[in-house]
Amino acid sequence: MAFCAVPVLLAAAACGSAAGSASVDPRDVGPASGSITWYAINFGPEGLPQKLIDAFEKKHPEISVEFHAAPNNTDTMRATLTTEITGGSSSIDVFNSDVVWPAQFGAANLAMPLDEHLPDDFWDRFEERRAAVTEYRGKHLAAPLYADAGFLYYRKDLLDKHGLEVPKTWEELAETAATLQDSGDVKYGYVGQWANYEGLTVNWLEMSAAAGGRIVSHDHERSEIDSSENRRVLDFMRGMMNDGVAPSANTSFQEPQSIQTFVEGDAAFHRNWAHGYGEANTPEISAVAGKVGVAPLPTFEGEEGPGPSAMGGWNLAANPHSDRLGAVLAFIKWMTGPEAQRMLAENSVLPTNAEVLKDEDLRRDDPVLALASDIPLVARPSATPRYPQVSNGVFTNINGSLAGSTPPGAALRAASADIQRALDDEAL
Amino acid sequence: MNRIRLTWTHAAALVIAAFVAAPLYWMAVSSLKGVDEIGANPPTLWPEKITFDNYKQAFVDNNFGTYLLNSVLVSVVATAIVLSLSAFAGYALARLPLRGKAPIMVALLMISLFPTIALAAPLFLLMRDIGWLNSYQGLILVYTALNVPFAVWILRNFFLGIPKEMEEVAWVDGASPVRTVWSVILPQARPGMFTAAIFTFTACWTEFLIGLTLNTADRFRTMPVGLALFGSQFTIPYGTIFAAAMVSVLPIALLVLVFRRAVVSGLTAGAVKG
Amino acid sequence: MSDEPPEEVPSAAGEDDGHTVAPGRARRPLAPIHDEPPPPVTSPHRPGDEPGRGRRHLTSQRSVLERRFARLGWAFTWPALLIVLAVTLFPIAFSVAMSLSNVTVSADGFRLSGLTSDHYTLLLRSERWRHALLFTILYTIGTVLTELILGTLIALVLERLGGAGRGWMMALLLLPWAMITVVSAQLWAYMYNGVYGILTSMSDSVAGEPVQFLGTRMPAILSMAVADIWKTTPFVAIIVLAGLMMLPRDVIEAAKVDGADAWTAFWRVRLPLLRPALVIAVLFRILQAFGIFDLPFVLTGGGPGDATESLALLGWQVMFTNLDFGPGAAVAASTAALVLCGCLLFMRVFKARVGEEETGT
Repeated sequence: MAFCAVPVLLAAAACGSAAGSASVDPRDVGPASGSITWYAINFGPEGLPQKLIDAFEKKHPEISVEFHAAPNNTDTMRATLTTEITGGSSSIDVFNSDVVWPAQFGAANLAMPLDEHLPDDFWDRFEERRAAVTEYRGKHLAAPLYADAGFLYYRKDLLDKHGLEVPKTWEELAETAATLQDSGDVKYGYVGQWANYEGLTVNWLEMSAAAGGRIVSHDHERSEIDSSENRRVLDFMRGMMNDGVAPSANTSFQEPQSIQTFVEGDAAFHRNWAHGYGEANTPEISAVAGKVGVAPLPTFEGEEGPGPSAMGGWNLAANPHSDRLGAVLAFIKWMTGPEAQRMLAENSVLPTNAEVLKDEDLRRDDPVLALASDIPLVARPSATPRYPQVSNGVFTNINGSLAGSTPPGAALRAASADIQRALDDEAL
Repeated sequence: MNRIRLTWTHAAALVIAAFVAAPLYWMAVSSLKGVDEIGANPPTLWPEKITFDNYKQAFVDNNFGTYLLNSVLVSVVATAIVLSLSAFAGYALARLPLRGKAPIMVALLMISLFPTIALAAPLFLLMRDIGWLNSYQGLILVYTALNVPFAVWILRNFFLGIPKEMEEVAWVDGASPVRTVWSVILPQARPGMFTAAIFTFTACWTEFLIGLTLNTADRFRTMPVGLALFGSQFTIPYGTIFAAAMVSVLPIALLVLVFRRAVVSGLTAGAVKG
Repeated sequence: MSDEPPEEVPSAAGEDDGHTVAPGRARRPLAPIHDEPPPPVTSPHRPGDEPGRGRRHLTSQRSVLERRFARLGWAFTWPALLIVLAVTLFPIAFSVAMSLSNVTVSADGFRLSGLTSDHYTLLLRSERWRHALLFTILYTIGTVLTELILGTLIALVLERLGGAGRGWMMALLLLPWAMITVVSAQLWAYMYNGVYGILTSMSDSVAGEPVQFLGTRMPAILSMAVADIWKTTPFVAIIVLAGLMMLPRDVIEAAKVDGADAWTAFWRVRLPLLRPALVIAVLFRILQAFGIFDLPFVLTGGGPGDATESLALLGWQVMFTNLDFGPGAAVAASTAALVLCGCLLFMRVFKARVGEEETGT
């Protein structure tokens, strides 16, 4: 069998570089019917994507949707998508797209601009700041599917026991944490995601923005990370490590490790995404279930509070090579509409639909949702397709400094140089 | 004297076994722990409560059984093809008067060292063109091609170590070339064949990136790819991963145990013939 | 036996002996007839060839035979070569082409235009690339050397062990090797975990303070190396063991008779004979260590800082995270070129020959 394949392969090799189907005429989307494939990392409680599909298919019996689970690592998923779509494949019709992807995917033609196919008022259904981050060069490359943001989780029981308030500033947090640690009730004060990866950029961005710092200028032309505001933040973070408020392992923590430390009852405060609340309050996996409260992130002394949360979450984007665009658009419309978004909210996944976000009944049942529409948000500087390198410049240098290999001043200078090179298109 | 030496050998073997086995023990034990216990601090050396939830999670709630079968199929077939191709090529490169042996060997080396990350995307294009995405034969073909170089190198090396008298007798007796290689040379190179087979098999068995790229449909996914789907963005379900991994190393262990005699006798035979 | 007396063998035979390296020499004590260069395989006879017809016919007969055997050689070799080339030629050529041209991704897929060395210039000017290169080289040398020593020791122990014990040990040794790399990386990440990792907790009870294995630079590099050595030493051990078993027993016996102690016998007699097996093991370990990807990807993400960023991890990030296909392909192609140089250099130093053409010595 392998032998007869050889000539075919050689022939294929000869014309391989010309691979890829012709682009689809943007206006001719075809009928809203047929079967489509939705590629996404599992999200929400087990089986939620399939529940959404079932509900959708009930409303649109002429469309069938198949869920293809993506590898649970964002970078691996992007790699697969890139290979498929640059290869001209139409085997994926619609996919979940990280909130920081639109510019990059737009620049590389990996996602189809949606504006021409959707009514102008379609975008009114979202919170404006959520819809805005899906744009690249004036076009929407994705529609917000579900939202996420950073929150502060704290041990209600410990604060009550010692008569302490939920901290409003990072300084208060460090002080409160030290008090609790000194009392012997808890091992560590604070855990977050300070490992060498995208999550550190998020953690950094939140603290930096609270102190009034920036990573890049508004026009995404210049690096602005080497500033006195940011120096204050980095010194503060290093101080948390040195004082033992944050465990030394914090520089190797991603979301799973930090939340594990918190649910084991080893940390007083914990920064994580919205899923952290439900997880910390589930008795089967958490030793502190029922003792966990949620609050907006702290700010820095002398700055406006509360501190802003980084915008996370996922959008829906369409493969430009899909030959079932009609069905894809119907799917996007329904998934961002009230019915699907309400299902998300009921399953502790933050909706993007403004109407559902503001629903009083839902907010009453879910303290995270209640906070979500009121907290200030800050977006990562992902409006440039160079964002991955900018982020790399942030997290490698900050992580190196937190782990003690570079002094803070040098780390910020190095980060600034790396980021500037990235913006100037001269970085590897 | 002899007795003491034996004891030292046994002690050394025990130490080696302990170092190799300790992480495996930890994996086995952790796969039997529940979600709360797996993250316990300090960790428990033996599960307080043994549970098979992780195994159920992997095989019932996820499609791991299918992934496992796919991996077995792809790896076994690819290994068989690699061995049969490389045995003849390795023999020719060791013994027959071919011109350009050095360039061939270096070219094979070059191919086997080209980073897979750079091959994934063009291989996708290639397989798309011949319609072999989401198929067994596509993956088998690619794995075969990627593992032949190593197998040829290793087998050639073993053939060089085999005395020539035997095959010369066979030639004189009028055996056909294929028969000579098959029934005279290969039995003598059994340790080499075994080595090449094990390494080809494990290379196919553990390959991730190309499996991920070429076979995206659930039905054709291989095990390493399937493992990457467990959990969600912000969770690492260690228990489920370890449960699946336990089952995934079993075939290898069985394979070696079943062929243990053949392997050991093969090695000994090789030594006697020297 | 061959009916051609050895002394008639043209000089090619001597070269052939040379290129078989150690095993070729190892045969001599076994087969005293071939004390002179053993007969070349290039001259076996089949019955129809009526050997020994006379010396005057020898030259023409030889060339006919040579041609026949050369044809046979190609017939044996081409299926393997063809399948390798058919699958890899286009991807490798495509990558190299990408690394040398401006790559844009249009709606129709990749578009390559113009010839440029910009991507390589970018590499050479990049601190990140230089750092990854240095790390990869040092890491490769360190781990391969350790594995070579440990693997040889393990092989020697297994050889002595013999019998059923050896079978079980081999089965055990193969398990780490056969583990999916991503999984073994996860396993080590789990054991190194700064809070609930077993190793962290063990270090806590031994040293009185938990060691942060992955949090800081040197510990992270060493921890990664340990995980790597655990997984890949069995590969070296098994190759060396197979090599040991192929060694002629009488050589060792002879050494013993000569009164050499075990150490000298090993160092002077067996180790040189083991060279081909060791060379193969090292060669392929260099290839794998140089391309290390899964382990830093899962364990450290290249951190802390850029401490454990390997070339392969860098290449992956440039290509699939930054979506810079040209520079990404340049990282890959330059890595391949560097490893090739490394391997050829290694073979030259250790006089491992890849074909009789090289045996000029």
